[in-house]
Amino acid sequence: MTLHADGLGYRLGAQHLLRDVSLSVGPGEVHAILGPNGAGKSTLLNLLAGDRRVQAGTIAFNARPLTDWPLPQLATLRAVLPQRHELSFAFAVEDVVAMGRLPASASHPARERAIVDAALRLTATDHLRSRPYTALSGGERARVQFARVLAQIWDPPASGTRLLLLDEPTASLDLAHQHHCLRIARAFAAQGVAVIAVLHDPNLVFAYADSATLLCCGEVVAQGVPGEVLTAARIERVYGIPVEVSAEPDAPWVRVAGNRLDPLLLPEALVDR
Amino acid sequence: MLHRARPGRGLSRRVAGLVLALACVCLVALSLGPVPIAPGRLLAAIGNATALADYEHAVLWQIRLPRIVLALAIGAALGIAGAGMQALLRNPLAEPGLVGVSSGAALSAAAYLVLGTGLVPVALGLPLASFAGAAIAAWAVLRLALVGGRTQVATMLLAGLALNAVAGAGIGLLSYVADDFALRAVTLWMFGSLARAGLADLAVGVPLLLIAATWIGLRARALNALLLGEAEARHLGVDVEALKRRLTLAIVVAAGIAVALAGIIGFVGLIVPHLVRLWVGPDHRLVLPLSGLLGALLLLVADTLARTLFMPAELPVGILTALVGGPFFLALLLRYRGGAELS
Repeated sequence: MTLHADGLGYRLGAQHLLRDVSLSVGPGEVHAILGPNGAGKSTLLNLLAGDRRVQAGTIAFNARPLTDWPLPQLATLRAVLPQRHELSFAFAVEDVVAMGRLPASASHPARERAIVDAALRLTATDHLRSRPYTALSGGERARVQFARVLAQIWDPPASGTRLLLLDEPTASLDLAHQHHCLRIARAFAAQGVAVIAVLHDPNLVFAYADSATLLCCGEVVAQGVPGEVLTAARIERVYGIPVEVSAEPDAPWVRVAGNRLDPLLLPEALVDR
Repeated sequence: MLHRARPGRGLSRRVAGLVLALACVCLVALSLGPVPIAPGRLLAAIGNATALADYEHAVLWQIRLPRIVLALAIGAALGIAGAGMQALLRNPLAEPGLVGVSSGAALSAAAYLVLGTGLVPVALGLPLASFAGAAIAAWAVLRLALVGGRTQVATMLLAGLALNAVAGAGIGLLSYVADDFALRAVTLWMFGSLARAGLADLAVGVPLLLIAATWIGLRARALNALLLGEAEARHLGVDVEALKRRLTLAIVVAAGIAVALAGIIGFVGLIVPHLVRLWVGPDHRLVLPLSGLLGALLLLVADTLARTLFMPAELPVGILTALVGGPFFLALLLRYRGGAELS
């Protein structure tokens, strides 16, 4: 197992953000985490990334406790794409991507440049390379940050397997780039990388994930193969919205039941009289 | 704004340009003063020491050269410390002077001058007192501005304002109990000047300034990563907590020692990194070395103007930098007003 988390718990004051969550992801596997807003997805990803101190349970990365890893060594094997991007200085796009190569600074300059170029091409941000990052749209920024994270773990390591943690990687992307982003994740998985991604769209999970964890209220509702986790009854119970799940075993898909939902009744005060 | 295709490329060309400019300004600064020595004669004296009279040698070696060294060291340290502080807080409006670190150092230095000169020799006691004051002020401001694990810049600037006011009042209070000698030293402390430091002060202070500036200058890649965000920097293998602690220490040393040597010279740490970023973009591999050089250049120009404009009287150079820096800071505030950067 590349990443193995066991019995994770996290509370803020009296509120349990996560309770007894376990999760295992191996090399070449794409694992999706999904659940309603506030279910604890980002908290779980933060714990797995080591951004928050684990209060209960254990996390092992490449069979070694996560907290035992020296940061520089960890950075050569594991990359994290956060949900929000803070950068507000006008770096050129290619310089942002090159920051992903910080952990590998000892390698050859020409090789470093080649990796940055390849990551830019792979994420279709090549044409933006000399533009200031601050002048990009939200979706473009997300793709540039994705390129940076890919560049970070581009090279297969001498030992151990790589891990990619993606917090809502498709959130600000258009339809085509959502699929492109997850195809890239699959391609990395094919190279032996373990991928964990927080995703909202069950159809993307069906299309790209090998396994999934459905969270609700900080607890695991179901875990396993997407087709078994995301049943119509379970989605309806967790999200409170009626859905149909197609019966095609090879390519299942989900859609909200009925052609159109009943119009929402607005509060009286808002209705124009 | 144009960005060079590759960071690093263009650094040596720009460094060379600034070093050349520095050399020219140094030559001018050496030649100007109550005893003028033409630049041509200075150059001639490099090959032949007898080209200058003895009193001219004395003026050069004992008065002008030490002062130029001081201007270069303080300018470079303030420029780099400003860039470092802006990276630490991921905000372009940070500067040791603005957030009260310099006035904390000045208050502590003034207290030492009035009350403590009998206890420790000045060449050692003054830098120690300034460093301690700067450290306490930095700790207080960063602590006050820390809300929910993040530094709020608006709070930090307000805390700096309050600290500056308290330090000013404290120095005013000290001036009431001071004797004539200490009074003059204390009142002058609020306006930075390069005229006070003696050779012994330089021998202690200049190496410390250069060590602090060099330490910050060698952290370019980590500071770049820090601009991505603290979690992102950690994911890139940077020990963020240690970096922040040591960076703060280096900034405190630079600002504190600068105050010990020259009093408060404001705004250099704000203006210089800004000009450099407008020139070459935000990459610290360029910003840090160029901020050091440009800081040295600007302070040497300012100090040369300060001591020659109204000869034989001398203007405190801190007044000059504040005259230029105040409006510059206002322009920056207006530029960032409404942006998320100040929240």
